[in-house]
Amino acid sequence: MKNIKGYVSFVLHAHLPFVHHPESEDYLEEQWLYEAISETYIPLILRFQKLVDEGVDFRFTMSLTPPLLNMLDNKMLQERYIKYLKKHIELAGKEIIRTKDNPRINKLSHYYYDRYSNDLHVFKDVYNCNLISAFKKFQDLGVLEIIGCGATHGYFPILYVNEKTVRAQIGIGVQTYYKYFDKPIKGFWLPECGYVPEADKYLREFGIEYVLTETHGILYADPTPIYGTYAPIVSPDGVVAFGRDLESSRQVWSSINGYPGDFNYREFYRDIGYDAPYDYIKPYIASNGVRVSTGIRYHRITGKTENKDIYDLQWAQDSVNNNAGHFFDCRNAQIDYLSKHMDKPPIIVCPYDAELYGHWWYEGPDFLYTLAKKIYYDDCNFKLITPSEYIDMYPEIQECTPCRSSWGAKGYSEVWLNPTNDYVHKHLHTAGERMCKLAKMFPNEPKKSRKRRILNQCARELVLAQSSDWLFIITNGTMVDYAKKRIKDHIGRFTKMYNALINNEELDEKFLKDIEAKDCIFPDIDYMIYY
Amino acid sequence: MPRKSKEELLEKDILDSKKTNSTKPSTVKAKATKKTSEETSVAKKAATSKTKTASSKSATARAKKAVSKTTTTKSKTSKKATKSKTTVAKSKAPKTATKSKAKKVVKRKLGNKAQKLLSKTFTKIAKPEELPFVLEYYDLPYKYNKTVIKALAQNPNTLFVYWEISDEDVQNIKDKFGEDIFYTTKPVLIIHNLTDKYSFEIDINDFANNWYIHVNDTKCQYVIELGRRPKEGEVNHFPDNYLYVTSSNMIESPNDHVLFYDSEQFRQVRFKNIHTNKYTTRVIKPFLKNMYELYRSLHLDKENVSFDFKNPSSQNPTSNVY
Repeated sequence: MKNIKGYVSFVLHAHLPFVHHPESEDYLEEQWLYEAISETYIPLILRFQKLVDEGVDFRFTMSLTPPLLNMLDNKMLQERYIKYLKKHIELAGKEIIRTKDNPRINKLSHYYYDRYSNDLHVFKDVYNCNLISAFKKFQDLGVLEIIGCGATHGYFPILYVNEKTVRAQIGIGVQTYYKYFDKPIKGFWLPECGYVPEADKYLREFGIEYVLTETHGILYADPTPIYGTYAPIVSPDGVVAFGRDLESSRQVWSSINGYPGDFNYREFYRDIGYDAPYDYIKPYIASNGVRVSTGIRYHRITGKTENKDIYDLQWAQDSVNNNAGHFFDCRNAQIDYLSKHMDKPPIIVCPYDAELYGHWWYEGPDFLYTLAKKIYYDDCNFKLITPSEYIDMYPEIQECTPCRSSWGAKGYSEVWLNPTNDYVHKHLHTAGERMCKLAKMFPNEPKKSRKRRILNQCARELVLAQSSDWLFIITNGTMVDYAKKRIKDHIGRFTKMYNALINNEELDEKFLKDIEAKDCIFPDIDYMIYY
Repeated sequence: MPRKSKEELLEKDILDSKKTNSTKPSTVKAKATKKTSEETSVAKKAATSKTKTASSKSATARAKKAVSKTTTTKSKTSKKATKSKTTVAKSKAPKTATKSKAKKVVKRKLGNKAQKLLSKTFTKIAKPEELPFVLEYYDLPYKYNKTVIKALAQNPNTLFVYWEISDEDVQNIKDKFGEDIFYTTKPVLIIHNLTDKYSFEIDINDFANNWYIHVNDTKCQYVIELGRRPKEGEVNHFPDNYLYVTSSNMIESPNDHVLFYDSEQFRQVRFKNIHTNKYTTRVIKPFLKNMYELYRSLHLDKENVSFDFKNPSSQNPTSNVY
């Protein structure tokens, strides 16, 4: 019998911006989804399934953001993903021949061939192209708690100068959750962990119980939370807030001695897309001939050197076991210490980008699997838990107002508001105000009327422009042109429709149909949320 | 010899089909030129045919312009397809070359094929109005013509404001104070700290439409006011030396430290049972030491309250390895 003194909660935030281009197959940005499916979502699903099959009792919490749900549910993207897989299977098949003289690499070629083939099988045959149903299944089994997120990951600390736009982000996000899942929504991932107290009343309005914040969202709260981040706090409006644990996240995120930097793990930047002979690899890289990564990678991190050794699956697995063991021991010690100073069991909250596990850290899903199994079978003083289970067990929560914060660099809004991207905000704010004005001017347009169609499309363009991803990409300096184009396109389309509505001008039907096809996120959106 | 002539014919076929498939507007143009020159001489005919090809060229050029990334690649592939078809035709040609009749049939057949293919591709490219996707290009508007100032918090010590004055308000000010009022005055921002009740002012310039403002006090509410003051040495038109333009939304600078500001001896902590919504207040004297212990476990105490918050979402943990 284990002596449970505390809890650990893993929260994986799965998010990608809405990228949907029926007009072209050349957008590299579409690959983000395919890579994430192959490297993160399917591996996670397979590990969850394995744990269930093995009878392991485990808990994970995951946010699946509305843009991601919309993309996973999109027929065209599903078809293109299958095409992506088939191309990768073809390439891996060629690789088996190309690398036949090097047994170490050849083993990996076979591995990739099997892996992509299995992805295709899992995607097409097992889940019938519907990965949402896979996640839903685990939620229904009680091992996974799925939480909601803002409609398009709009960053609240910048949008809230017009509170209605924040309310709409929350409302549309919650509606999307209920479209795909039938369990009541309990948790909400604040986009970028961006907390502002002004959003709390809307979170409560849509039935949200808890949110997740960055560490100082709790530590700098008012009044001082007496348990630090080791217990949640509740805001005056009634939203429970959990804070990220520093110690455990340092173990994963530290660039010096974090787990993902283990020398045996797969090297992210060495890819046959860059390494293989150009003519050979050309059909599998960007259509304009630029070398891009393919996902087939043969090297391990090796060390602080450019001479990378060949990746070895068994060595990587050994490191997974070591890291999982280390993490397990550290939590055990941490909870042992904390429980002495607390009158209720501490909760260690570990939020991460889901794409860290698998996409960035290739062995991440295996780490989670090994860890969950260890926690279940080995002797320890803690259990995995979801935040909502913890609240149900310990409903007495200290009342504090969390600190305005985010999980962006330096902890506040600098990633989404700096000289590279500050020009965007006036357009987002103006479009938001205009959307509210439109809802007031044309309330409750009859269903199926053309005006309603236009108004709903206005709402889609607005939320797409508000996505925090574009601002982040501009700050980050890669794919900047694409992000800038997306902002221009959505603001431009919105403004065009706004002007037509305000001036009572005819709007070209072809234009409307066209952008309805491109920006097809939230088919059931109702612009009256801005009323 | 016959083979060569066949190729020539084929080329002619393609050319013809190109011509016949040139866009409608171009044929209309061509017709118009025909109308003006009713009595056609050979030379004039040649001229019209020239205009035909020229206009068809411009039409295809226009179409090409109109076609976005995808369709150009599509047209490329279809062009490739026609090429491959013609090569098929070439290879087939010698076989049929023995019988002139059969040859002719094949010729026609191939001609039709090529024509069909070309007509397919060219109608697709040539009529922009039939493209499946609308071409768009947008630029963000420079201004929205409204008088507004908005404030955001970048971090606990930096606020960001952007502003704009509508044409109408500019005119109103000019009407009231004279045409050159914007040359003889300068814009200023007045920062009001509502929490600690003080204000300060910074000079800005008319080339800017946004500003980053350093504020000393965190966890305070601010309103920022946009106004104008006379430039040094200029005549003062304004009462109180100042013209108010507009004020921002209220913005709170985030907190940046642990609030250990309660009495060290004891404090009352308010708890809420979120199931029953009942409040209880407990004196937690015995817990105070524990609280510091907990915070110390986060490598933090009163003397050292700053953390290094790295953004987990913004970096690849493996990126700094070498």
